[in-house]
Amino acid sequence: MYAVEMLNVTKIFGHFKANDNITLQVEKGEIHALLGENGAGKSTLMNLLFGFYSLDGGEIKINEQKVEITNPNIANDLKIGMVHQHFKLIKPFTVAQNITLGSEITRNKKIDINATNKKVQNIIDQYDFNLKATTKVEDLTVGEQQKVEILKMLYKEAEILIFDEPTGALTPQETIELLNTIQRLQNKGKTIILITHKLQEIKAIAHRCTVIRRGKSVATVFVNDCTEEKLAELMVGRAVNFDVNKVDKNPTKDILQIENLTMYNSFGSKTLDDVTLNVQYGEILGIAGVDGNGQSEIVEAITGLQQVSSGTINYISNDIKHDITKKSIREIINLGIGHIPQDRHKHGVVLEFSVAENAVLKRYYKSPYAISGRLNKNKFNSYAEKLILENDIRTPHGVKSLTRDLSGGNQQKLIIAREIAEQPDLLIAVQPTRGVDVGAIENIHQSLLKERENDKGIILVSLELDEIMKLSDRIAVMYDGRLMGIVDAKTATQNQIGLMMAGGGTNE
Amino acid sequence: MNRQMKINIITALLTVVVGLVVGMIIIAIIGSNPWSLLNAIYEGTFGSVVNFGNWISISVPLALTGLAVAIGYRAGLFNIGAEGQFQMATIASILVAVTSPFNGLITILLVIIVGIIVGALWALIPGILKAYYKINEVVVTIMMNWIALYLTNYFIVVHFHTSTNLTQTPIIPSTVSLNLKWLTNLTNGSNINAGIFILMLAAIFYWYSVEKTTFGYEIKAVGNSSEAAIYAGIDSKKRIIQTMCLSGAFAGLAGVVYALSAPGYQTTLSVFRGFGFDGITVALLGQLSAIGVILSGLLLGGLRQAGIFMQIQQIPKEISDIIIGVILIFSALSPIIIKKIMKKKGDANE
Repeated sequence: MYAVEMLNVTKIFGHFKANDNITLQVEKGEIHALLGENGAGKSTLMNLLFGFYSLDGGEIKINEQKVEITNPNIANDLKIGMVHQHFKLIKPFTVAQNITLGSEITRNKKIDINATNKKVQNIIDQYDFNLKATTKVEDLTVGEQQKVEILKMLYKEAEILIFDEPTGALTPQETIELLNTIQRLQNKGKTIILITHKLQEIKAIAHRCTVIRRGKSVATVFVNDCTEEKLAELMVGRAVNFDVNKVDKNPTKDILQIENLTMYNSFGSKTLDDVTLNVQYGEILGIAGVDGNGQSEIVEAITGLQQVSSGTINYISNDIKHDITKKSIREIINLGIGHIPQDRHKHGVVLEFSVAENAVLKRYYKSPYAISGRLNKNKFNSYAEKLILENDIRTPHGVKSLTRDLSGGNQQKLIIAREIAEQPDLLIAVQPTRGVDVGAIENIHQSLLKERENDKGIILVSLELDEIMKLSDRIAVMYDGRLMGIVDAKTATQNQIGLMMAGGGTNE
Repeated sequence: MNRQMKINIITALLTVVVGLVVGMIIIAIIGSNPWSLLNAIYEGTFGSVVNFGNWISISVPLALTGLAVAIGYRAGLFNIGAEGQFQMATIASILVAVTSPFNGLITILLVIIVGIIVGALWALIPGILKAYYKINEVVVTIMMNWIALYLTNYFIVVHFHTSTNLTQTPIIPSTVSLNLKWLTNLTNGSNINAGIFILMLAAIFYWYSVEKTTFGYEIKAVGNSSEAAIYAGIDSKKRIIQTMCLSGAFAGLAGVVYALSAPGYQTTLSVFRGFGFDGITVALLGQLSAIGVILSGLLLGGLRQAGIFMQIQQIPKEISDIIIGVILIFSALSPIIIKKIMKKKGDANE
């Protein structure tokens, strides 16, 4: 029997078919993966299931009954629940308060806090979640916060649980725990839809997998009968090369030396604690860690975006040491440090600028783009045209398109193309493949490796451990603002790095 | 781009139409003939050569304060303080004009320089507070408007008044007025003067610096995304202060033109003259473009002129202010409306 059936579902925005005749059938009690690239139509499909959008064609059946889901409350009543990528929790509230929010247990119109705690603790114990109902959410780790999100669904007695990219912010250990949890929920009879682009996770726990490509469902397969390569090919529409060709390199010369770097945030608490590390010409230094453990601070200290509290950062070019802690951002850029920023909308581009204007963001004031303060926009355009041609950046109306009108992946390509075209000696790439589809990821990885081949220094900060392990020569692991150690990428294991990311065992 | 421009123009025109319709409805409600509004606008602008000259003359400072607000807006700064900057520059201009030992032309140049500097300095304070301490420029400039108002009142009453009237400054000598004989004669003695040439130069300067220079590129980057600007190595603090000063300089220039036009003196004020505030409407309705600002300056000048002619027909001239208010509200809303329209059309085109 099917718990969820979306039959020949179509959703059209203007002339754009976001979902084109998609069929998704999820059996009761199975773990069903939904695989697809960014923009393939997964979110649209789930938004249809939740009643955020209305159907333009097809029908939805829940437990073999045809239903009209016109708003999210109906989805709730049908016992469908979802754990979003970004948690929706109130941090100063306790676990129990967060879980019962919206349907509080009351007595005489007042919240009955004891009964609430008791009921929530019951559910927690019933599913072996190892949490306390009275803990405040702000004191929980990311993995534990996710459990609260799951418990919110269980409290509402949801039977169909949807997980939207649930492992994005987790350490490898937390990921394993989550996958176990999902299996446990399945064992208790829940039906699970797992939205993801991580093939290992699908292989690990899913029974069947529906692949969506460009708004169409291309296949539903039994996971056991299918290799990762096959799944990737279905998703992208062509064979994907997972292996990277790394040339052997024997880096010897430092390009960057960070010593005893310590930083504080505006509230006065330490964000970086006595970090010492070096980067060499011709190597990729990966920086691994769960988001928010000091990686951004290191990057912002090097690029000059944040004031350094104490410590030194020396940048060595042409055998001259430059202390860059006191230099302006522009001086640092002109010394040859490129930066692919983490938040492309915030830092990487001015969204209201044209593609041409963003292409010259770091050279607009130099000749021939400007001569004594006067801009030459023709040069902007020809430079940008070259960039978009060489890097296959797709724009709606060429270089004059507003950057806002480009897709996220193409915005990212524009930023990477721009930064590499500046020919930096040290390139800092922060999450360069976030939100970019598999095909483009391949190209971005190739670009980074090419820089390495050309003897540039590269710092790669990423939350995707696979990416770090694949590309890096050495891996620095951060936890709570401290450097837990630097390991050789050739010999390190996922497990070892995962432990370090969680603050445990260093490289002995 | 072209389509965007078309939509911009259409929304600006619609905004004006809505303002006028609201004005007419109100006139109808108070029991007068609504068409008298359009009649008054016509009378005040093209009704006679004199009216035409006066219309242009009143529009010039409005367009200049419009440029002041517009350049701030480009850098993401909302300069509500054009009023105060205008006010300070006006009184400084009259002071220099009255006391200058030099001949007419040199004094005029001196007045222009002083007026620009005073306006810029009055904007420097909110600029510094914004750049270095992140204090909202809207709040600071509003406060500074009141300081300017009472400071000039105080100055007039205590130090700078005629022997017969405590609340009025001395009149500027006719040699430093911006009046040009041939223009005056051409318009049968209207107030039109060399201010229009000052406005043209200012508008060209505005267009050139915003569209053609690295400075313009940088302030637009700061205005649209200060984080991205900082990332690109732009000194956003410096640009914020510079833009604020430039904005004050335009408002100061408006004060200069006003001071050196008829009647050539200033009185103590209990309410603002509204040139700086109307500059907000001018800038937004003109969608921050130089030509747009000049056109909407003329429109608001026309509405001010219409006020005079409505009064003659026993209709309160404040109707003009209501219309300007409605136009301001819809201009402020128009980016949202435009976005909605573009989105709908965009969806349909994809």
